[in-house]
Amino acid sequence: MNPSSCAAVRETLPWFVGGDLEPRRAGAVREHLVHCRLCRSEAAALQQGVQRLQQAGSEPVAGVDDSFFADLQRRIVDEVRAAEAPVAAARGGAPASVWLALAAVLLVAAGFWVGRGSRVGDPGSGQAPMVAPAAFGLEPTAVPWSGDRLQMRWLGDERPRPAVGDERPGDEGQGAGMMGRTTLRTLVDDRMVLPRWQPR
Amino acid sequence: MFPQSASSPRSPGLPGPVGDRSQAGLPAGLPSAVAALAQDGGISDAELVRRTLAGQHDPFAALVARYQKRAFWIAWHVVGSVEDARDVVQEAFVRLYRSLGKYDFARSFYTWFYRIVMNLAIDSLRKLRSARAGSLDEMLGGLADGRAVTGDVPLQQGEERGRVWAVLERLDAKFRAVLVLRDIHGLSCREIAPILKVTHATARWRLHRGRQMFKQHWERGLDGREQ
Repeated sequence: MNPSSCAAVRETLPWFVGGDLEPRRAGAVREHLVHCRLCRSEAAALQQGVQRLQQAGSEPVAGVDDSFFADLQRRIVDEVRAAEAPVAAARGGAPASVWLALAAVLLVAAGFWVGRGSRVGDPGSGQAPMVAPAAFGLEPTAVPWSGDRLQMRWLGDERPRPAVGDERPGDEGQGAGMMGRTTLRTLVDDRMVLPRWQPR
Repeated sequence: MFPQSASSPRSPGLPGPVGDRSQAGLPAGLPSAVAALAQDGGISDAELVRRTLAGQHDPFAALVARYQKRAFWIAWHVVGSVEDARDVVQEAFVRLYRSLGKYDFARSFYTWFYRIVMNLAIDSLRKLRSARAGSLDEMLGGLADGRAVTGDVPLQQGEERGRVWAVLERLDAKFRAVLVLRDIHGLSCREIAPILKVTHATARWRLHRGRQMFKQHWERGLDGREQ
């Protein structure tokens, strides 16, 4: 018998003896065992182990009978009755994935709504701002800003920046852009500075 | 001699296949309302959970009636002591009751419950092992006490059974759990994997190693060391 095929068959024997091998591979193993005495002996020893476990598991146990289980039933029910009643989870039985998907959709929708409300355009355009949070009785998170542009600069950088309308091509990143026209209330602070980025 | 198909072995004296309540048998002396609920195949486990969450007591008693025997045997085959197995089952049902609100109705009830039982049984086994850590003689003596055979079992058969449990005792809990669930209770590796919270491949590998190790320990006559 080919030793390599014996090694391959022996690797599958622990599954084969318990019927845990797919039929096609089990057929090949069975065919091998017909001709290989050593592998057959190995398989017989493994199968005896499985049978011993099955037999040992099915034998009666002293003191475990109908009255034992009736008593166990009583004990469990009494103990559980004394325990606090379980409360259904708030999710009401739907799978967690459904609630996660719903939460994601609501989050995106809320993002669009708030984003739309804070899109106020140019201060001089005369367009009334849409401020969504007002609907909830909250402070608006964004307001049109007609004052000086927020000057963003690196920490310690005191160089003057161009005023609104003075920017030239190449000024991007020097305070130009939406931050100059719409300023978040929470950011309205002349002292706001950004830490200088230090290359590694 | 060798298996002809991939059918699950079932021990005749044990509860039947998972989901087959007819062979499991209900405990005696149940109130008629509980017995009716437990026997009604049209009422699923999930429905019993729903009714329990709605504040009824009988549906939970019916769940206990459906599963207590299987739970006890699984626990007993892992821990090897009637008293400890009974404690494990009681604790498992109490934990189950307290956490019913977290039950995911999209998943199998028995997998969830067996996981609770198996976790508690393995914990109990580890505590027992650390408590009884001693000589081989002491261990075998303890097993003989814990798994005393009934009078109608022949002596030779009883000795062999004691040796089977002694060999199982030598195995690591993770291999022992798979052997108990597969070879004694007849669950498939696909059923075992979620109970032990491992992948199907891991469950199959543990079964492979467990059967090999069982054979090796048996042949060495308990003299070998755990691998």
